[in-house]
Amino acid sequence: MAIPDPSADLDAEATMTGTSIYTPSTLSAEALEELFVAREPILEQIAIRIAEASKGPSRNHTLLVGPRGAGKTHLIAMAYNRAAACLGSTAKTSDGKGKSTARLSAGRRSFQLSWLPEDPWGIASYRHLLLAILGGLQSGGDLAANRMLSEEDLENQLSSTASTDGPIVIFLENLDQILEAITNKGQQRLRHLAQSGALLFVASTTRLSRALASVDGPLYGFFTETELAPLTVDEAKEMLTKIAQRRGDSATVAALSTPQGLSRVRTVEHLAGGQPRIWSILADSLSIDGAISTTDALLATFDHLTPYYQEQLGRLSPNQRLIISALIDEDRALTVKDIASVTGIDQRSVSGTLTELRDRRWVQPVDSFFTRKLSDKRLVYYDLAEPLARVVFQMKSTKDGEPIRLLLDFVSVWFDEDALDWLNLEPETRKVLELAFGSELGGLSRILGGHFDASELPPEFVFSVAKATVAGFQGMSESAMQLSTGIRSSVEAALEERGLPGTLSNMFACIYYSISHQEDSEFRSEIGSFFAPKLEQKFLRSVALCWCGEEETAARLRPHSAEGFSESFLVSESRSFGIMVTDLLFFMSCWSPSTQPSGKYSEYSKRLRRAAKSDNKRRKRLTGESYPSSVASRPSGSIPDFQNKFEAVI
Amino acid sequence: MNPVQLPFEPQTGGTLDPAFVVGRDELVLEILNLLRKGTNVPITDPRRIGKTSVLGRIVWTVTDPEIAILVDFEGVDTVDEFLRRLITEIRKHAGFSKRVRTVLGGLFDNIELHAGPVSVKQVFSARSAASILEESLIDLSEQLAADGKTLYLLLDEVPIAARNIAEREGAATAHILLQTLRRLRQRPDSAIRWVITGSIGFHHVLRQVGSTEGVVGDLLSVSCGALGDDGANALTDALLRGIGYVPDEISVGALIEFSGSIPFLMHHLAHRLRNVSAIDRESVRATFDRFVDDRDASKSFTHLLSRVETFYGDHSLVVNKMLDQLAVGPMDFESVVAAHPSIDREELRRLIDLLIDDHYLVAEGSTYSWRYPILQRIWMRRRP
Repeated sequence: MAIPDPSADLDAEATMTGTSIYTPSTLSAEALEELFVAREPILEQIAIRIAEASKGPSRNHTLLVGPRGAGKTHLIAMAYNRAAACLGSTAKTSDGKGKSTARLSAGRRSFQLSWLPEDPWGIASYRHLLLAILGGLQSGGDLAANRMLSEEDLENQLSSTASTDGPIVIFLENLDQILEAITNKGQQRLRHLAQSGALLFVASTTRLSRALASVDGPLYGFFTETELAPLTVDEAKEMLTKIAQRRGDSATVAALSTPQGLSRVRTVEHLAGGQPRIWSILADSLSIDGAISTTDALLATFDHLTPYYQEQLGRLSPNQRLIISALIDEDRALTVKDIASVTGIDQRSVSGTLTELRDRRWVQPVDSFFTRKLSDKRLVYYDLAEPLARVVFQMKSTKDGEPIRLLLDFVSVWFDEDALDWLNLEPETRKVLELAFGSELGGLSRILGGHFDASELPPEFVFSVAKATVAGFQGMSESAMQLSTGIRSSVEAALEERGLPGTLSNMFACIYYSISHQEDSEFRSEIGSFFAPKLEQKFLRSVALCWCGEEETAARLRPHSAEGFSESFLVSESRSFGIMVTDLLFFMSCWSPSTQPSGKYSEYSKRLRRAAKSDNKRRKRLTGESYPSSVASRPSGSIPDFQNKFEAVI
Repeated sequence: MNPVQLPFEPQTGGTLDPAFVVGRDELVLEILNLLRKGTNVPITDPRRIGKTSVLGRIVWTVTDPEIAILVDFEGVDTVDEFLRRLITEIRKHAGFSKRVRTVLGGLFDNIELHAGPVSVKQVFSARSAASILEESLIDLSEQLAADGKTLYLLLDEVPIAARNIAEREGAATAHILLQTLRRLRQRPDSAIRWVITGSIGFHHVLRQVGSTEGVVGDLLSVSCGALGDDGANALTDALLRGIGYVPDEISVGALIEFSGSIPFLMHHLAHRLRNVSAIDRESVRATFDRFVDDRDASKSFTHLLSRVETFYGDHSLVVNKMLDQLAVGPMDFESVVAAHPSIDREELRRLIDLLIDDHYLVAEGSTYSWRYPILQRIWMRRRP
């Protein structure tokens, strides 16, 4: 499957910011270099191959393999530009396509360049291909005269020019389509011509078609293939940063440079996939300080993507569609057995259909933190290769006026709720954002990001995620893989960034925050028995401190001085937090023999509760409202901030 | 040029510079010695073992008064094209005397030019291409003999051309071409020697064109096989340098072990190890496993393993079982017979012969084993 075909509106819009999403070949060499990320080693390999071909008989043909949007055109355009620059001439035409040549002497030998049009609609036969190659050469002669030549004459002309002016380096895209057009016979002749040393290919293809993948195919094993992997999170961040810099968006550049920025990018990667073009599309939609424009841009992007995915879905067989539908409906990675169970198709057919869908790049095996920990290595989970395909189904199932889930997911992981200028938001945008932050993914992302005011989430839900996280970490990933893809991805991102204790402590903090008002209960007990052995006491203390949110308190705190710690809350405005912190310490004391005797904590807890109750009555009398049990006061800072402060104190 | 000291960028396809073909000089010498004694040679190996590279190295090695010309017949589907492609390649060589060119010029147009298509002179257009092929090479041989030169014709992908010709012009035409080539090879005192290679076995094509083994029965088969220790070490060293890695004993040893010293696999593994920071046995094993498990990537090397049904049809179950048993260790013929009590002895012998022809097995006396340990390893991995 591929990323959408050119959409004039979207592309035009993007070009205004200086980045062409769909046709990188139209960008200047400088712009291409400026926006280039991650693929430099491949470019260097191509340069070496051209240099070797110019000096001797070696012909190491390059085949870049990747779906549409993987950055093939960008790479080929840059390879061409650098080769042309090496020759001392950049002869690229203004339309950026088609006829563009350069040929100059480079040392003892020389080479020539011929860049064929990206879309090979004019190549319907081997003869057309030869004409196109010849037409791309500066020394290619008169096109009308060339058209009169036979296949063999054209081959001879190419061989002749190569023998006098050096091998012809052909930059060619959509090789699979061209090979199909020239048929097996043409492929055999092309191989022979190339074997003679006249040609060096720098080609790309979206897939290894039969002509390339069949052992009997003339061009099988002819190329050195390089698969263009999706961008890593760091590479994606680099790309987003470069594009933001290009449009002068310093706020986004700054935000991306923080650890939270990287975390956001990581989660977006799970939501959208890692193909460069998707990042390019999103880079123009995602702005850190423009909630309104970002929401609108994302909506426009999804709107543009919908017809494309609809069309692609329409090309699938009924069984293939059923499997895609199952993956979207279940919203999580599935095994063959899961899919068979959900769709009612027998397992053998599911396996076969999954192979087809893999070939067509609709699905892919999940390779993630949890799958790498799977104890049963034979178990393979599949998920959508293009997560944005969900947009089609969500558009259909969403009621009028409701924002689609994908939009909420993006917004919830991209923005910092606390940093938004809520007062100046338009009602529609405000509604979208409120829904986003109130969603499970939005809430959990905030919790994992160290914000502890996300306790609107049911503690039972957070606890279930915590249990699945621990199981997954210990190699029993099946339960972790039951989580929805978004939730699982957020947890995996947190695990990779902060490890298990850091991730769990954030979840624990949230749960405890939610149930701090409760008296002893079975749930509390379960929470205690689950978390206490897994978290370090020191770390829990830091969690407590972040709830406190007061640096002065932190400064007064000494290890094991529960008295001073809790006393401070009795005289502070943060009594509710005091209760919670004291409860927390009390709770910890039950599990750790090194803490103060539990009696003192218990006593302080009671005193704090009484004081808070009195506060609450007064508040109710004055305002008619009680403090919400779980959000008594808005804390400031984040867990990591306060953890650092705490560490500094002790 | 000594490639050992050079960084050598992995190359899994395309045309290898013969100067960089490593570890094949002993084989090249063996082939040249056979040719010098008048023995014509087919190189029989599965795809990707290095046949074409060896041919290139032969061309690179020989010097006057020997001439070696490599002709690739990929894409040829008529005898006329076969003839013209052969003569075109001969025309390119500068080492022939004026007399040779004059003789060829009597039959073909454009012999004196370096470009433009070679074609049979109009006056001979009524004659068959096979007869012109025969006449031209006889004439050429006589002139070479007079000049004191020997020509080695290295014909690549002849079986594919024969199959294409059979499809386009009929099996009889392909059969005539093969017979013509045989007659030319068998001429006494010929100044032309022949090396014939192809990525599909002659025995399969012969069946298609209705010929018997007799048309290639005069050839003494030579196999490329894996590289020797020195060659494998040299190539591995150069490839690791080519991916920017400083080779050491561990990385070199691991690459040799998991490639089975097959150059193609060495290149492939090195290509896939580009971004690995520490190349050791574990990382090479993981890379090898991924390569083998990625059926698209490894198909060119492992196609034999997936071809049993195509090659052996109704006998594929027996053959699979036999290969399974031999994957555990070598077996003599009686053990094979004992393991297949329901199959006739002669039938088993025939199947084993075919497995040898198809490069699966090798015989040492009456003991059979897998020809390539690396394929044996892959077979075992794929058939748990």
